[in-house]
Amino acid sequence: MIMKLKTIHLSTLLMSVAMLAACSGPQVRYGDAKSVETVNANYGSTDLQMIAEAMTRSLLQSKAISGSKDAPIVTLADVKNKTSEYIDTRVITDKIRTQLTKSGQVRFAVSVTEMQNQTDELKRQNQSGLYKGSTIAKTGNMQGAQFRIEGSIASIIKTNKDVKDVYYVFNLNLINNESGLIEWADEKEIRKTATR
Amino acid sequence: MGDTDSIQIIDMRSIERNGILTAQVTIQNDSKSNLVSYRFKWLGKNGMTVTDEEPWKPVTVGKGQSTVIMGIAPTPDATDFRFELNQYK
Repeated sequence: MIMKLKTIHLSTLLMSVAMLAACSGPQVRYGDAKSVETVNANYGSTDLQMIAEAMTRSLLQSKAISGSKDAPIVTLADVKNKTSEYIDTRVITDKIRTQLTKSGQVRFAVSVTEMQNQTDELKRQNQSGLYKGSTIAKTGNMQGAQFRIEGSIASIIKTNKDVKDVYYVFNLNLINNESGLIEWADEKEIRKTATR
Repeated sequence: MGDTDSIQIIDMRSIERNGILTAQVTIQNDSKSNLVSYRFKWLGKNGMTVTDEEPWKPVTVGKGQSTVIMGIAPTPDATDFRFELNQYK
């Protein structure tokens, strides 16, 4: 009888421990979004941050930007992903645009991808008949960009059974829309090696 | 920050280029470990930082080697800078 009671007590204890372990789940912590990320050799947050920062700072120092009296108007064009990985290049250019805008040295015109929203809003205000005339944003007043930013990201990946070596090169150009001249260009190289 | 005792800062200078403060820091590594990262803090005239904190950027410096790190301020408001080193895993 005593043995049976002990067995019941022990099994209840074990079950409680198991249930507690199942309920506790993974431990969640907030990390530093700016810290170096080295989970694997694939494109990651540190690469994105390094590329955006290097390009922004170099562009800010260029004569095309720093030599202008007024903050020049720029638009974002394509950054082509020539790597074998999926890389959202729009995130890179958006980050560059945010940092440049915050510097106050550059103004941005809506890009091709944002044009639909812009025309929809103008149409809504001008054609719906719902708005007070004096407050309507008139059509025909959008400003054309003097420059556009475009570029590419490419990679070379080499692997053997122990090592994976990844080399990225990100290239960005500032092109004068009227003259077609490349007014500024820079590149950022990144090498990462993962070893077993 | 971190264990960066083996890293020596052997030179630090700055210049204003096209209206933007540019810093140059030379570091030297005396130990095997070279997993260090750095960032600049850009300060305005009042001593406050001019933007959010920069991301940590990894830099590879071999044993006994030195490397030159360039930093460009994010806005023309930056008049001074701080240089931070850290170790990452």
